[in-house]
Amino acid sequence: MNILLITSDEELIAAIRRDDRKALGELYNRYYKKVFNKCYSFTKKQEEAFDLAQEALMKAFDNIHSFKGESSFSTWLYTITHRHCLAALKKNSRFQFHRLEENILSDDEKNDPTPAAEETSERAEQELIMYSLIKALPERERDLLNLKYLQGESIENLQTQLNISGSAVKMRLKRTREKLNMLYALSITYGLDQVLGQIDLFTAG
Amino acid sequence: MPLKKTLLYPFYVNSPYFEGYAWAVELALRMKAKLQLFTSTTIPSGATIPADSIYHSLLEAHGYYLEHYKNPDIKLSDISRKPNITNGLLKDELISYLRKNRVDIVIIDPLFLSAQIKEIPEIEKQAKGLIFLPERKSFENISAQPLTDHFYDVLQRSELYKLPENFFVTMGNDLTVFNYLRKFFQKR
Repeated sequence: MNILLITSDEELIAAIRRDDRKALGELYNRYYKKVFNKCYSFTKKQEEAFDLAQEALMKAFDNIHSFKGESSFSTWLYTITHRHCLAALKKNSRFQFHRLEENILSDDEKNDPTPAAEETSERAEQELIMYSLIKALPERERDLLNLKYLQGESIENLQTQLNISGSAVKMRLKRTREKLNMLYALSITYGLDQVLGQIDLFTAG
Repeated sequence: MPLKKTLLYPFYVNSPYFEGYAWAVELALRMKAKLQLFTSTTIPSGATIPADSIYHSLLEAHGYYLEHYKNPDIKLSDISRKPNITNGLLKDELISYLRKNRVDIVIIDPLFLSAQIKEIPEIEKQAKGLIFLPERKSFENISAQPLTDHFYDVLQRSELYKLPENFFVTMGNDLTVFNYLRKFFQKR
């Protein structure tokens, strides 16, 4: 059996820092598809997703020495990928970005998937607010969102992982999305810092 | 400022192309050139492969490169490679592409050569330079050799056609080649 298959990400990173190429290949192989799928969820175009995935992977692996282990490697990598996709959105309005489900676009915005440059910049800001709010959610809710939308896990897989029914998974996702939408509306009205400062009030129970 | 050189590596995604790909990436890195990865969704049998499978395969091929060639002193972001995925017959699309675009060197691996043997004269006519990679057995010791030795072993066994003089100057400027060549002098 390939010993690398049972090696944790953190052990592989330690080996990579010792210039172990096999460990580098193994870690890369674990994540390239998910990174590509994440980029595709933004662009909905294969070629653009490939370019962004390449760049995000190269950025992460070139800077692997800066990974401090404060989060899991997968979270660190997906954060880099997410920010890279958003930066591409700001830089190049030819990318058509599609939000995650249950977005807060108006009906007019939903019908027009090709925003003008200034609207693209505004959308990037909206995405950053949403991303900050997701980070501030209770761990259980955040992990569920990450599993479903970052890692692309199906409802069936989540059922098995969480040991709850499919309808329970869907209900938890729906409630979390509704909570995020409410937090987003409050952030727009009162400011993101205000909401983050009192996040416990909004996320208790 | 001189134009960046362009290398082109044609391949069929349903063939074991990773080794040729990895060597082509390494050559592009040493020449500070751009690498075009040229393929088609249509394979020789006439069947079609979805484009997303090709993109996944290219990402997987790069994992092979990282495991077998990656020099820790080189940044991954220094590697410039771009896929060009066509839909028609690869041989026709390749020849048409070479007629319209400037490509400095086409890198042909043995599997592609055997699939497109009849088209090679036309490809040779359209390409500025050609490198025919050696048979696969040349790649068998890849893990046992130091990176640089393996790269130059393959280059030494390749057949080179119409390569410009600056190719040899560029290779000569690569300081790692001196370590490789020194071994021949030490053996004598």
